[in-house]
Amino acid sequence: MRRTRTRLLASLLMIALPAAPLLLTSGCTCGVGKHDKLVRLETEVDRKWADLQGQFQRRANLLPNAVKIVKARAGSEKDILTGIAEARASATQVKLTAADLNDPAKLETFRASQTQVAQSFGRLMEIHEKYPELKSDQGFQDLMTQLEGTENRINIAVQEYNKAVADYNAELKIVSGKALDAITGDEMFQPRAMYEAQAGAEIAPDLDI
Amino acid sequence: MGRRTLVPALLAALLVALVSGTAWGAFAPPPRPDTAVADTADVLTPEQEEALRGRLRALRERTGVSFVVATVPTLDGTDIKRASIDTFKAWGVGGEENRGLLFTVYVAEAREAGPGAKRCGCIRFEVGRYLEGDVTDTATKRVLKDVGPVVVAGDFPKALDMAVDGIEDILGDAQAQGTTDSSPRDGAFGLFVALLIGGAVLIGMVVLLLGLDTPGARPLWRASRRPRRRARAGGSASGRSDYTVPSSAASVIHDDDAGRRSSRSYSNSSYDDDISSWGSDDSDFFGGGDAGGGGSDW
Repeated sequence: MRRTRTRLLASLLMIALPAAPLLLTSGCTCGVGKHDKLVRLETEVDRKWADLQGQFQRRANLLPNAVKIVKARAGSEKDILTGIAEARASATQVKLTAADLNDPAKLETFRASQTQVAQSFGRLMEIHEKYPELKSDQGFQDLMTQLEGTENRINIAVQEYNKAVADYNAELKIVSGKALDAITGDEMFQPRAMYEAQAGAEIAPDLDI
Repeated sequence: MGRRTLVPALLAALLVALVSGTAWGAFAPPPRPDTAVADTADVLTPEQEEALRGRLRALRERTGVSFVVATVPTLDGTDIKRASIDTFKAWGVGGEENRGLLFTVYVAEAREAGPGAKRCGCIRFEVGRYLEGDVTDTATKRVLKDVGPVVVAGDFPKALDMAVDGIEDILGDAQAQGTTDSSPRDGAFGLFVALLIGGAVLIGMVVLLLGLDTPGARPLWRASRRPRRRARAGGSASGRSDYTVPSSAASVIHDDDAGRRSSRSYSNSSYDDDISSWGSDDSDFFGGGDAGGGGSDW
């Protein structure tokens, strides 16, 4: 009698042991799936921001080359040279993460430094008609091409970043996202801010050269 | 909390819808073509088209780069950069390896500019993300400075030929430095690593399942053990010890193998692809390609 009982128990266990994780998983799938999706979307936001930051960096990296060209072809334009040097210094200092975009002060410094970079290039383009040597310089023409390509990449990276933010924020607003945040302590996922391109921060190097 | 966050969310969604709506604007990318020469403006003779296709196929055999040339009737007032990247993404130029290049001529804008124009905003190279290092903006710009005058003079067949010449030169240079060839091999390596990890996970799962079994579960234990042994023996016999798949799944392995072989034949196809298999279909040039704004226009 006792033996049959243990046997019954053993066979019950046999069924229950593999079944328990199954039941547990199916119960959690909803929340876990949601959590995973949020993590995935949030990672995408961060990745797209890194892309965008990289493109801004790419633009700033063109500045030393600009200095070289101006020195060679338009050496008397001292204020342009100092402007470029300052822009470069501030652009390499200010780094932002996607989460920092929620911080107005940090965003403002970042924007200011990017505007400075854009204005340096803008002044360089303004003077190019004044110096025929500069205009015909192959290095200057290449620089303008690179600048144009970088501007285009920045525009596209901004769009892609903002789209990633929209997807993530939308998912976060859906009811089960709130439930999840309540369970996990409401601190886990925060909405992200879009990046709005600022007037004066873009360059249009569309020169007839 | 609920209502306060819902309203901005809705507003944001509306804004995104509006912004993306205007961004896609008047210009709609032509439907994805089935040939690498997408002459939607119909400015080429069938012979010219065939000759260009031959060159583009050969370029792909040699470098693994999917270069698509397109003629489009008009930009419809859309920015050329916008139209070009939208088309590139809609077509997924670059195929599985994501090494795509798109050259587009907008015919109405070219005719409008007329012979002798200094720029027309009617031709553009769009460079896929994985080619930006090999095909730089300045390199494409130099090609365009030669091609542009021909385009505004209205000689589109010659312009397209020159564009292919230019890219051949650029890629030839890059290949000589050994940069173009590396990524197909990286892809094969990635597949190998993925298979290895997949195999390890499978082994892990089998071991875990066996470990969970209690002595009372003898029939199950036996049932699951035997196929595992057989699979191991079969695996080492064919030199693939990292597979631990029950023998019943052998057919799956075969399928997988076939897939691997065909995907490898893209990249190293100079050895084993015969020209007759091209058919009339260049669909391997499309799908999966992405661009981030690299390239230039004139």
